[in-house]
Formats: sequence, C-alpha cells, structure tokens
Amino acid sequence: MGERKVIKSTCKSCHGGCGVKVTVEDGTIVNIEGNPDSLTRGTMCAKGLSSIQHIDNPYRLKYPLKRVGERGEGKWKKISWDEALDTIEKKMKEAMEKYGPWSIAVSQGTGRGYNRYTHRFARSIGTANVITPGYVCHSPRLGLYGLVTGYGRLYCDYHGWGGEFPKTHIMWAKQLEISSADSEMCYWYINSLDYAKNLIIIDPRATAYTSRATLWLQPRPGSDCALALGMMNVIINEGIYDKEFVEKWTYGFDELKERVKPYTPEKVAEITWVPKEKIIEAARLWAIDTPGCIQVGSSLERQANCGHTLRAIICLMGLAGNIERPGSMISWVLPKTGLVEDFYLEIPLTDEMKKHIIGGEKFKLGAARTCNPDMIIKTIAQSGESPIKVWFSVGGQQIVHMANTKEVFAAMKKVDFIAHCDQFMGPMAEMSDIVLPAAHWLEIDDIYDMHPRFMIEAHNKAVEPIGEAKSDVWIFNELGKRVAPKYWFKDVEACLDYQLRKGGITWKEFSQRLVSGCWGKDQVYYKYKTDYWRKGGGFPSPTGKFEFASKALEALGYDPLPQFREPGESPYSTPDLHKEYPLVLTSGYRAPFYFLSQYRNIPWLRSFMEYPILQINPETAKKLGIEDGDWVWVESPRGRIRQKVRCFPGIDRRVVMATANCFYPEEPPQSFHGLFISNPNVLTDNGHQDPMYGSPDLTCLLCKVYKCSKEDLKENVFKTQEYGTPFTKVLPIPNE
Amino acid sequence: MRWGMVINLAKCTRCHGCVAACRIEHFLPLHLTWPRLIAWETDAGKKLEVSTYPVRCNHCKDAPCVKVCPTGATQQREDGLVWIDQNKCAGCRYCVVACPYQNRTFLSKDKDPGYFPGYSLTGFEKKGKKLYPHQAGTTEKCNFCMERIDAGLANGLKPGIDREATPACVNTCQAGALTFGDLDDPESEVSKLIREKDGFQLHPEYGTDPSIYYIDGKLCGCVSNKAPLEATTGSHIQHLSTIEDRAKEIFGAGVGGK
Amino acid sequence: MQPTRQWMVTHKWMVEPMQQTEWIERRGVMVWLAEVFTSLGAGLYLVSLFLNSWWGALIGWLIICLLKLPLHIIYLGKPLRFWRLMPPFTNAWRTSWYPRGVFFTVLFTSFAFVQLVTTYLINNELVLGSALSSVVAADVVFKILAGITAVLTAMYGGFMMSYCKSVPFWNTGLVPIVFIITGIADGLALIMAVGMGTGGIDITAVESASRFLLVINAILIASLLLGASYQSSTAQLSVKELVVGRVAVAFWLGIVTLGIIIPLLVSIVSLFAEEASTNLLIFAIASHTLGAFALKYSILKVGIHRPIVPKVSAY
Ligand SMILES: Nc1nc2c(c(=O)[nH]1)N[C@H]1C(S)=C(S)[C@@H](COP(=O)(O)OP(=O)(O)OC[C@H]3O[C@@H](n4cnc5c(=O)[nH]c(N)nc54)[C@H](O)[C@@H]3O)O[C@H]1N2
Ligand SMILES: Nc1nc2c(c(=O)[nH]1)N[C@H]1C(S)=C(S)[C@@H](COP(=O)(O)OP(=O)(O)OC[C@H]3O[C@@H](n4cnc5c(=O)[nH]c(N)nc54)[C@H](O)[C@@H]3O)O[C@H]1N2
Ligand code: SF4
Ligand code: SF4
Ligand code: SF4
Ligand code: SF4
Ligand code: SF4
Ligand SMILES: [Mo]
Repeated sequence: MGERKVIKSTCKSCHGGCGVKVTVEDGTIVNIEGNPDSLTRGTMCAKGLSSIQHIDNPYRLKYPLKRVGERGEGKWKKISWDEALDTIEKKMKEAMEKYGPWSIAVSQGTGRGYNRYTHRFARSIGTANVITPGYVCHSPRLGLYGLVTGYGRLYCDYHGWGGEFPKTHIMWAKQLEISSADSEMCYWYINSLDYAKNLIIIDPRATAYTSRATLWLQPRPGSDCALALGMMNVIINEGIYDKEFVEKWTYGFDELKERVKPYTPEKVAEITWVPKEKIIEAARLWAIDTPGCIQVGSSLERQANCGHTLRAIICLMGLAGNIERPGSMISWVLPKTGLVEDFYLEIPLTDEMKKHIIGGEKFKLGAARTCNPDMIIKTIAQSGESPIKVWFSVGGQQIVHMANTKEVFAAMKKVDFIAHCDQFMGPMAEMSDIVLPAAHWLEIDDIYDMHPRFMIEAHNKAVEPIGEAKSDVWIFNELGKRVAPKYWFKDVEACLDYQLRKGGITWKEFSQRLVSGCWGKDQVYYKYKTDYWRKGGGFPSPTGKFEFASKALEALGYDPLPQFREPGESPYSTPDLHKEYPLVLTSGYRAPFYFLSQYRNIPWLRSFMEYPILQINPETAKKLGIEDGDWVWVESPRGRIRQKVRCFPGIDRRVVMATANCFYPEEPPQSFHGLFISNPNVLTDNGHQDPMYGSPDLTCLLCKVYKCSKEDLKENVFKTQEYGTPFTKVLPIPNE
Repeated sequence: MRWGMVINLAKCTRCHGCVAACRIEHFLPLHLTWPRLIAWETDAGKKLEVSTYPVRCNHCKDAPCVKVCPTGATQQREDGLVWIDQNKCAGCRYCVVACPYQNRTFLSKDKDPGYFPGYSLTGFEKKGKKLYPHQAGTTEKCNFCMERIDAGLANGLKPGIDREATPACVNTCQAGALTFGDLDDPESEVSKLIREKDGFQLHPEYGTDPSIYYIDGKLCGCVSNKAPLEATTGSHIQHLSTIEDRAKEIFGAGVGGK
Repeated sequence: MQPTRQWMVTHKWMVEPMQQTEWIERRGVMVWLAEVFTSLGAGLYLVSLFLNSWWGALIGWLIICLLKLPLHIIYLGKPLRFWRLMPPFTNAWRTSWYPRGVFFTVLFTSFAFVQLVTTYLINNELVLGSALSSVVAADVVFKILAGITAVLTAMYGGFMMSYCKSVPFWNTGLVPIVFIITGIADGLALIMAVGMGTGGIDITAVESASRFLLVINAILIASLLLGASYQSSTAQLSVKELVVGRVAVAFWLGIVTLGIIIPLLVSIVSLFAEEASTNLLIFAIASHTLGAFALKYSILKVGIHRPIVPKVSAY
C-alpha cells in the first residue's frame, strides 16, 4: 500500500455544502465519503460521490485552447496560459476603449461558489452586464423577500436551534429532497420531517414524497399565484391568520384583504385545477399548525408571473406569522466572516454602469444590478452589429439553459469574441474563441459560500489539477490583475485571506478549521421584536413593517399587491393555440444524479438515466399511441425536440414534464454536442416575460407530443449514436 | 448476532447515493451494481403510490444461493452474513438464476466495456484493480460491507452505531432511509424499528427469512411516533450543539457568532 | 417480459416479471445445448441398454463425454475450476442438485465405459472360459449401475430447475419427469437412426414404444402448462410466452409439430404401411431431434423471475 492521506473538504458537485473526507493514495483518490463532523453528518449523494470519475475523466479539458476552425468545427490548438490570458486581456481592453466597458458581458451558470468572483470581476472592469440564470433561479425570491421584509434572505428553519421544529412544511414547486443545497440541504429538511405534523406538497407532478405527504395539491403549471391568493382568501375569511403579527408588524393588510376577495376557493379551483376542498385544507393547516415554512422552488421563478406569485407566497408566510419564529422562515445571522457578497458589493455600481445595463429600463427589479439575459440576446439579434463585443463566460451553458435556443444560438454567433471557462467541451465551448480549463473542487483551495449564509466552508485541494487546469479564483484573479489591477490580489491566498479578514483568520487557518458559522444558540430569532434591525423593533423595510402592500413597487409603476396573470401560453390565455397544442408543458425536473446539463459524461451517473425523459400520464400516452420507452417528438410553436417517454401515473393527464438542461457530450462538435436534440428550451419562448424580473415562461407553455418514426431517430444528429449503448463510441479528446 | 438492515420506504428519495457509495467502497466495475433501486409507481385503485425499493442481497437466513452453490463458494457465516469466496466460485450462475431476489450478478468480461472505451482507465479504477480485485467469470453481490464490519469489530466498534463499522451505503444516505444493526439484539435500532413500525420482508412466502426489513408510513414523524416535541427537540439540539462545541473547540471561540 | 439488464435502469429492473438470461442468452446457449445433449445422450444410452445395442450405447456415451460435459465446462466463468463442482472437492452435494448431477454424470461415464468394454468383450467373444462368467456378471452389474446413473443424469437438470423458487414456471416436480420422459423419447428416436445404420433393432417395436412415450410426453407438457397457469401469474406469463408470446414459434413448430405431431404421424403411418419408408423415418428422427432442441430452449427461455416488490406479488 502506498502513502495514504485523508483530506477534509466541502463538496460542490451541486450547489454544494456537504462535508467530505477524501482518501488519497499516491496522488490518486481512492475513496470519497461524507465527513461525519459536519452539518450534513457524513451523508452524500450520488453526484458528489461520483466525483471520482469526474476528476481524471479522459474528456476533461487540460490546456487552454484556441479555436482554429469555424465555430462548431471542433478544431482547436493548444496554447499557453499566457497567450490565452493575453488574448482575452487585449480583446477586453480594445472593447473598453472603443465601445466602453459595458460592451463586455460576463456570464456564469448557476451558483457554483464563484458568483462573487464573476460579479467582482465585472464591477472591477466597469460593466454591469453580468449574465446569470439568477432571474429564473433564486434571485426573484431573494429580491422579493427583501422588498417585503427589508431583508433579502429568508430560509426555512429546519434545525430546531430555537427549540422548535416546523410543524407544517410546504414544498411549493420544489423537490428539496433531490435538489439539495438549493437554499437548504436535503439532510436538514428530511431530518426535520421527523418532528413535523404536516407536509404539504404543491406540484403538478408526484415527487418522491407526495404519496406519503399529508396533502398533495396538483396545480396546473403557472397557476400558483392564484392558488396562493385563494389560500389567503380562506385564511382571512376564516379569521385564522396570526392576528398579533398582522396587527402589530405588517403593513397593507386591508388592501390585501380586498385583493384576495375575488379569489374564492371555487374560482381558484377552476383556475388551478386543484379541488376546492384541498385548497381550504391546505390553507387551514398552514395557518393553524404553526410554526411552518414554505420551501419555494425555482419552477415558480421560471414563469412570467413570477414576481406576483412569489409575493403572494411571501404574504402567505406573513399571514400565518411564520416569520422569524423558531421553526418558521428566518433570516440567519451571518458568521463573523461576514456576507460573502460583500466581496463584490464593496465595488459600487456607477450610474454610468447602471445606465448601460441591458434590460434595465424594462425590468426594474430584475435588471437593476445585472442585465436581463433574454434582452441581451434580443438586442444582439436585432442590432446589425452586436453591442456585446467580448463575452467572458465562466461555467454556465447559456446556449442550453436560456429560452428559445435557436435565437440564443444565432445571437451568440454574432458576438466577435467569446472566451469560456469550463471543465469539459460543451455547446458554449464550441461557440468560443478561447477555452480555459477549470479545475474541479477536489483540485482547488477556495471558500465555499453556503446558500443560507449562516456559514462558509473550505474547499481544500485533495489532488493536483489535471493537466494545466486552474481554479476559477485563480483565473479571475489573474485576468483581474491584467485588466483591473486595482481590485485584485497578489495571489489566490491573498485573495482568500482578504475575504476572511472580518473573521480575524487567514486562509491557512480556515482551511484547517473547515467552517466558519453561526448556529445553535448563537442564532437570533424574532429579530423584529428587538433592536436588531431597528431601534424599538421592526423590519428594515421602508415602513418598518412586513409589507403586504409595497409602496416601493407602486413607485416603480408596478401593482403594489400580488395579482394573478395567466401564462403567455395556456389553455385559457391562448385557447386557439391550445387546440393545436393540447398539452401543458413544464420543463425542469431536477434529476437526482444530474446537475443541470452536467454529468452525462460521468458513466456512473449516466447509467442511472441514459436519456432525457418526458413524463406523461399513461392514459394520455395510450390515447396518443405512445408506450413507455418510446422516443417522442415534443413540439411547440418554436420548434420540436425528442425525448424518451416515461409513462408516469403521478402527472396530470393534461400536463407533460420534459427534462431540462440537456445536451449530449458524446455527440460531435458539429452538432454543438446535440444541442438541439432534446433541449426543451428549443420549445420555450423568450417573448413573454415577467414585468418585474424579466423571467420567461420556462415551466408553463403549450405543446403537442407524438411518436418518433424510425427515420426520425436516424437523422443527422443521431448518426453517431448507437441507441442503447452509450460510451461505445470513441470521442476525440480535445488536443491529445 | 445477526446483521440486518431496515429500509424506510417513506424516506428514500431515489437519489442513488447508496449505489454510488457501494461502487466506491468496492471499486465496482461499471456494469456491476450490488445495491439496486426499484422504482414502483402505480395509481391502481386511484390511489397514487410512488415508491422506491432499495434492494440488495437480503442475507437470507435460509438462503437458496448457499444451498444451490455447487462449489461451496457461497457461504453463510455465524452472524448470518452470506458471502462469496471469489477464489472458489466457478461461475456456474446457478445462484444467479436461483436467487429469488435477483441480487446476484455474474461478472463477465463481455459485459464490461470499461468506462471510456478506447481510453485508459481512471486513476481510481487502476488503483481499484490492486486494492479490490474483481474476478471476471465469478458471481458477486452485496456483502453487507463485510470488510468494514470485521475491521470494525476487531477495533471494538459496533456496526450500525460506529460509522467505521457500518456499511458505506447506510452512512451516505442523506434521507436516513437505511439503518443497520443486530437483529438478534432486541434493543438495537433495527429491532426497534421493525417492532414499532411493522417491518416486513420481501416475499416472506419463499421461506428465506431475509435480513432486510422494510418499513413504510407517513412521513411526518411527530404524528406517528407521538414523541413529545420538547424532548425530541432537546436531544436534537444537544446533538447539534455537540457539533457546535466541537467546532468551537477546534476552531476556537469567536469564529461562529454575530 | 423484459430481458435482464445489468446496466442500471431503475424503473425497468424487477418491477415487472423478468426473463432469466444467464442460462439461455449469450454464452447461456451452451447450457441449452448441454441440456439437449444430456437428454439425447442419456436417453439413447438407456434405450440402447434395453435393446442391447452396443453401438447405440457407445454413441450415447460419446454424446455425454464429448458434447455435454465439455459444453458445461466451457460455459463456466472459470472453466479451470470445474473440479470444484465435484465431490469429494465439494460438500455441496448435501444441498445442491448441481454437484449431485455432476457426480452422477461422472459416475455414469465411468460405469458406462466399463459396460461398453465388457459388452464388447462378450459380444465379440474375446473372453472365454472361466473369465466369461465373471465378465458377464460384471456386465450385468455395470449395466444396472450405468442405467441408474443415466436416469439420474437425464433428470438432475430438471431437479436443479425445479428447485428454483425464483422461477415459478420451473418450480414444480413435473420438470424432472418431463426431462426423463423426453430423454427416453429422444433415445428412441435416435436408436432408430442407429438401427438403420447397424441393423439389429426392431424398428416396429421402437415405434410403438415411442408412440406411447410421445403421447405421455404430450400429456406431461400439457399438464406442466396447465399446472403453471394455476400456480402464479408469473408462471402464467411463462405459459403465455410459450403459447402465444415470443417463444410461440419454438413451442408450436418445435415442440408440438416437430417434436410430437410429426413423429407421431410417421409412426401411425408406418403402423398401417407395415414398413415405413426409410426416408420417412429419417424425416421423423430429424424432426424429433429438432423438437428436443426446441423443448429445452423454450423451457429455459420462459424461465421468468417473479418481481421483487411484494405489492405486485400478484405475479
Ligand atoms: N440533483 C440536482 N440538484 C439540483 C439541480 C440539478 O440539476 N440536479 N439544479 C439546481 C438548481 S440550479 C436549481 S434552480 C434547483 C431547482 O430545484 P427545484 O426548485 O426543486 O427544481 P425542479 O426540480 O426543476 O422543480 C421542482 C418541482 O416543481 C414542479 N413544477 C413545475 N412547474 C410547476 C408549476 O408551475 N407549479 C408548481 N407548483 N410546481 C411546478 C416540478 O414538477 C418539480 O417537481 O435545484 C438545484 N439542485
Ligand atoms: N427549460 C428550462 N431551462 C432552464 C431551467 C429549467 O428548469 N428549464 N433551469 C434554469 C436554471 S434554474 C438554471 S440555474 C440554469 C442552469 O444553467 P447553468 O448553470 O448554465 O448550468 P449548465 O447549463 O449545466 O452549465 C454548467 C456548466 O458549467 C460547467 N462547470 C461546472 N462546474 C464548474 C466550475 O467549477 N468551474 C467552471 N468554470 N465551470 C464549471 C459545467 O461543465 C457546465 O458546462 O438553467 C436554466 N434553464
Ligand atoms: S448534495 Fe451536493 S454537496 Fe452534497 S454530496 Fe451531493 S452534490 Fe455534493
Ligand atoms: S441513498 Fe438513501 S435515499 Fe438515496 S437512493 Fe439510497 S436509500 Fe434511497
Ligand atoms: S438475497 Fe439472494 S443472494 Fe442474497 S442471501 Fe438471499 S438468496 Fe442469497
Ligand atoms: S456462480 Fe459461483 S457462487 Fe454462484 S453457484 Fe456457481 S460457484 Fe457458487
Ligand atoms: S451493505 Fe455494503 S456491500 Fe451491501 S450494498 Fe451497502 S455498501 Fe454495498
Ligand atoms: Mo437554478
């Protein structure tokens, strides 16, 4: 046996957070398991564990590459880091001089623990045109929590630190048990269920826990705002709201009362397809069995009425007084090291930067500090010459994850220079001029920021990066030093030390300690009853209250109270279209072993679900002549895709669910790795957007479904793929 | 002493973590999975049920596989654990056909193309070939992490209680759906769960007496176990403040806090 | 019915009844062929004993030694460990029909070998005088021993299968009986071929025996199917696959038509025609032998496992 060492670190194979213990023998990882001395108590999921197949996966990017052929030709030349960074620096400086720094767009994917670098980098070079999926994922929620309570982050108290666990849980468009680490760890949630009385799941599809929940509401996708208004109608009419909280600590109750009046259970049942009795029962459980929390899912943020839907849900929290109580919704006290966001917030946005935010005029909440991604695409598509000259992309598959793939694809082709940083070749990389190899979390030293912000953890390097791959923090710091030296650091360690300075520790110490947090008895509940936010008590909002009605919104020209609006396409808003496209389509469905488009090239994980799946009710399938396992076309007015059918009794007959964020790493570069084969964003529309946040309808639209013919499966893109036998084809490894 | 497992159907999220953990623990080749998941979905009788049955070798007390094995490679130990002596197995597959729970896999070369055909193995795999060799041409199945149990017992640890002596899949399960312990000890966690939550075995009519029991029911515990909230809360907080104290001890005071 | 896949596809595995593959697909065809040769070899040997056909016995013995045993051995994942299947190297004979069967087969091959030698000596008058009586005595003893072990060899596969609770269709005492009866019927068919080459076989007698056995066989198979359709829905599914499903061709064309109806028709025709034409006989023999292949194939192929989840234990 060789020399063994055990390294403790933090997993971020998803949004991250599980403590891990890695055993390394002679530089090779031979074991990964959870770290029992962490808040996730040594548990881990398949994604994190499969990192073992990720780090020295032969398809990993190992060197900086420069494109030498056309976009999508797949011809690359290996270059040095110096050449790569020099080129990007030169392009950026040229653009800054000629067109201003806002002609540079900086993009990232979902939160992967490098958000603060993306934003700091953008601010440091003087652009606020930062493209993130935040507007369909978490940002609207945080923004509206801020609007209503004055404080931006409300989380579910699953810990019992205040002496009480939630008595009623609502999973609203969320499968936290699978999408763990998105706001909360599933370990905490599932553990807290042992102490709960009710679990209410609000989802058009059965999830892992629906058949054992207290109550399952199965709404029509896109109708959640009406449901929330209906529940408030019941609670207010029956007088079961938390009177003390509402009277003393809220603002605008009477207006709200007026607003919810028309949303009687009968009417809401009609809109949402949820039986009246269930709406009433859910409302009662929520209002009476307190404390409780609502875990809000991002399916609601991927809808063009997301602003009002979320506001309605937040009002529901306030009505039941489920704010800041032990076992309810709470804003956690930060660790001594402070808010990670301070790392970029400390560089202010100038008026000039704000003025050039694309979409800022239109989406006053969503595009106040970063741009609206769909507007970027439309602006590029509609201008003769792209206003974005340089697109610097870190992680994130914008081509895959944004609405209306065809338009996104065409627009990106018009951008002069794109640099992309990733671990594998993918659609974004094929679109780029320079590709930078990013290191895996097992190969880096960095600080991990936990979603609920009550702690931060350390990523400790377990093995050397593959080839010449570098950590994202190194890449940003090096590029930062070249383009905006004032804001960047001597080296990575200095950068990390700086981020920890408020905690009075250095990176070296922190790396040993693994975590800095505030938990247990150190947490503070009922902050609004103390001087915490405001002398004499109150919320840090303009009125000092929890705001059912918002003057700030009104001032911006929006409705101050939540209001239901039909999705851009629905059986009711577009009845004619509905005749041709008779099924309601929602697309999302996180699979437990994929993280967005990631991991289809990890054999262990791919083996669990070979192809993207369309869930359809068996009866609907039968009517359409479709059987379990068939390949089908899913078609909307924008285009059509193929997915594999899974007959699933847990979905409404009128609704289908497509797996989102998918491309096929094994497909050739010429097809942009099968970008158009199964990706539901080929079907989605970026035309209909939420007025506040600009979010498009990704999870509620119309479609039709029909069986693929044999010929359809052999078409061009599928040529290289033998069905049923993945990984038998040998893909070229970039530059080997 | 008889090692057994209790699986809570209500909690399993179908996350496949247990499968991955076992693959790591035993360096399993791609086409081999010892634990498996069965997706069970029905709305028969209008009552929807979505369940996942995590299955693995049941370590049957009266194990057909032990009986049929012509070479004696499949054996049962005193503690009920059924294992295969890979050096004795001749690869006749009688046990594979005869296991009523289909928990055995014959490892054949032609079924294992490797992870990345045409390219080298991952470092983990290469190491695994030395650390935990698998013999193509023999039959394999879950061994209840026999290596962990034995090493743990030798160090005075308790399987099911001490992590080092507990199966890898049990340790990793985020949902806490898996519990391991001694079925013969009426005070063990597994015995209690079986007793209190009406544990059942798969296909008891086969007369195999599996060592894996399943429990099911509603998810929200405080209704079913009627434990006073204060008490459970208290113990939970204590558990967390142990972590907290530990953290303070290691990190020094002041890292946590306002 | 779904083929087993080791590749992890969660929602397909053992939720529905699943076909066993190890003993019929890919290298599993060797098990099938070995089983067919067991029946042909042991059956021919047994029939030859009765009809005193030395050549028949020799051919039966050769089928076992050169076809059955080698096929079984190369089928093993670790062929070089074949000796571990055999007592005294294993104790498993106490519980398992497999080592027992291997043991019977090995005993059979040795006993039959001795018998072939003694009979040869006697037939060719190579031993005379006082030695003769002891050789004759030995011949009788070894004929009995070889006969018994031949029966066991023909049957043990059936016992192995009938022990499998995992496959309800097989899990019945009828299977070994079907195995031995078809074995004898197969032997009768082959002995006719032997007789055509060597002479000295009363073809008409063989034909009437075979008529009888074919009818019994048909009844047995019918009762196997009937029994199975009452046993459990998984066994029922096996029957369905046999009769109208994916194995229907092998069943109706192979087992029923080639294996039973044609040989039966030929033997009935020859009943009236006094003496059947050689061509017709050859046709009947070939047809019967193909039927033997079809029978084992079908039985192995419709070996369907019952799903694991108890809630579907309707199956
Ligand atoms: N394993 C894994 N974990 C992940 C991810 C992953 O890809 N894989 N992705 C991460 C990311 S970026 C995010 S944003 C989160 C997302 O995590 P979740 O918010 O849990 O996202 P989804 O699983 O897409 O959707 C949750 C549920 O919403 C339902 N739903 C769809 N449309 C509607 C609707 O109109 N109304 C209601 N009420 N429900 C609806 C779906 O059926 C689904 O069950 O997960 C994160 N965690
Ligand atoms: N139709 C539909 N569209 C959706 C959604 C939906 O549910 N339905 N969900 C939306 C949501 S919520 C989100 S968050 C987005 C998600 O979209 P993205 O966050 O863009 O996720 P991916 O598209 O998977 O892109 C991830 C890329 O980052 C790379 N990567 C992973 N880790 C690292 C790292 O550490 N460093 C670097 N440099 N690169 C890394 C991966 O290899 C991969 O290429 O999609 C959105 N789009
Ligand atoms: S839940 Fe996320 S952080 Fe935890 S092990 Fe899985 S991938 Fe890693
Ligand atoms: S790890 Fe636990 S929750 Fe995940 S699939 Fe296995 S048993 Fe189920
Ligand atoms: S489950 Fe199968 S392999 Fe395991 S002991 Fe029982 S019969 Fe043997
Ligand atoms: S395959 Fe191996 S373990 Fe199974 S019965 Fe044959 S010899 Fe025994
Ligand atoms: S007990 Fe051990 S060997 Fe069995 S499935 Fe779990 S991890 Fe694998
Ligand atoms: Mo997201």
